[in-house]
Amino acid sequence: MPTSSMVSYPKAARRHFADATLLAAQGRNPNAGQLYGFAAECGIKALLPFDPVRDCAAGSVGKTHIQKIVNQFAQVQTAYQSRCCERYLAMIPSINHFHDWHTDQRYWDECHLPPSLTAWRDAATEVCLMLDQAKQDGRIA
Amino acid sequence: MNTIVHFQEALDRAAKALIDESLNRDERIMLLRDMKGRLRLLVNADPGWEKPRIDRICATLGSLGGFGEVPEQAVLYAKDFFDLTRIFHDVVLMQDPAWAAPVRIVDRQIIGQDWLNPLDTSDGPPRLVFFGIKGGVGRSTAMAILAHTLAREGKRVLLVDLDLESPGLSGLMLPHENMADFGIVDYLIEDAVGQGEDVIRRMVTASPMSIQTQGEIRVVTAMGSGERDYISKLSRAYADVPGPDGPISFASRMRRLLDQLAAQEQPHVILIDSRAGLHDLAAICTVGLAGNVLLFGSDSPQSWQGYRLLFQHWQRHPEILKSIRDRLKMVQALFPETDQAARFTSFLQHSYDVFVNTLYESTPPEQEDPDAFNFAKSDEAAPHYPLRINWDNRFQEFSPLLLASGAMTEDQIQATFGAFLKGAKGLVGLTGELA
Repeated sequence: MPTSSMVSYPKAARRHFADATLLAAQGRNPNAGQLYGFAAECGIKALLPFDPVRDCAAGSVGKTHIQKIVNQFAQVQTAYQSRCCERYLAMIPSINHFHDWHTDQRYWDECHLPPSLTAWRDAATEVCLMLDQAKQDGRIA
Repeated sequence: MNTIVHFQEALDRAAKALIDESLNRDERIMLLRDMKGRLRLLVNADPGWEKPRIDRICATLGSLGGFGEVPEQAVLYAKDFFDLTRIFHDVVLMQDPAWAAPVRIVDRQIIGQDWLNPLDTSDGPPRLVFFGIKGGVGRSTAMAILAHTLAREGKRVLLVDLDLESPGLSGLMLPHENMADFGIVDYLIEDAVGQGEDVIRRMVTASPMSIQTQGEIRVVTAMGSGERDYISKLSRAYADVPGPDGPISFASRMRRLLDQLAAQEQPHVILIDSRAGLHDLAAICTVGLAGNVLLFGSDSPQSWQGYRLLFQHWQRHPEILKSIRDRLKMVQALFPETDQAARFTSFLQHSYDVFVNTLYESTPPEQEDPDAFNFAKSDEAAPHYPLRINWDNRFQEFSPLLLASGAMTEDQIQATFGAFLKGAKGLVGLTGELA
């Protein structure tokens, strides 16, 4: 059974991104794309105000994947009243690149996957840079 | 019981720890002060590099109470970030009179970054910023008189109201029927959704003040003519917006707006009414727009205290200070009618004291350095030596629109504003006579 202390969304985001980049360098695009999506998902969850274990168990935002999280990102505004939130949002203008990403794509035949790897990578890069900013700001550990 | 360490003392102790370990200038290491003021160490190297010295610094950071971090979490390495190299680009050198040497620091703030975000030069026409620590010292009136004088001399003048939280230029310079469709705040809101270009063409209007002058006064106000929801817009105006190379800060957006207005209007000079006080908007106006800055003040303790606080902030960042200090000029506003010699002497002394103790460089007499940034108290060209605006009851609650009617004579204007006008025109290189 996972506990909150076992979860680190920022570290998970960086790990998924690094592994995605390794896979992409070897032409393993389908799984690289999956991991770019998970990197972005973890990065945004790192800034959202929820308990990973409790909310995962409840099946709410913790289990929500990137498309819904993007829509819920306005929650950040309630978590961080101030211009910081606007700064973070302004750092991820490409987040909608994930509109055609879905976790179920791990089951798909490769020939049906969208040719979006570069767009997903760019959007995930923005999320990771946003996390660096939040870490400097003292918003995340 | 834990010892309480307060904000300023925490930074002093952290800086001293770096200096004592001779790591304050090493390009692989710097202090990080986060938005709450908590201090940590950033190291662009692998864990283990300079371990004994870093451990001692972390021990100090661990003793800073609410502004520190437990020693084992007081240092962050490259592995803790996606791209630490990029963060090291933001480093500034901070210096404090209480420290033995400068220290490299990334200072994350909720607001206020723009006091340290200078624009050294701009390609467009000269810019002159009207700033005061306190309001109500005749800034806008002086701006109107200068604009009118320049227009009489054949110059095309662009006035910009950046006092967005206390907008007043429109009422002062324009009858309501002359106002443009949109103002600065409209631009900021519309630009954030990609519609700025449409607004910018409809936000400048001619002032009737220049109806009989050879030159022209063009005005950009904070709000447009049909404004019904100003506060709703203002509350959204300061946001950063996404750009192709990362977020575009509010300061950068204001710079871009000024550049676009200059290209559209082709003025000889841009006069900018800044927000008063130690506010972000004032930071952008005074530091971020590459203009000469008129520092309005009266000889009051509140005024000098405010300027001292501002100058001390710049003083701690020597590299920033160098790009700002020679663009400053004090203005003694509301210069009283009585006891003038003593009152001028008092103002000059207070002004000189503030500059000497903050912005001017101190070089020992035996090391005369011609390049040192310092001035004699009596040097009229020095930033501390004030341009003077005399007190004149006729200019209280004065409408600059009267200038067009000839209600004020040239003698009256010269008697009150003559010294100021000469000095202000000199700052922007427009020293012409009446056309």
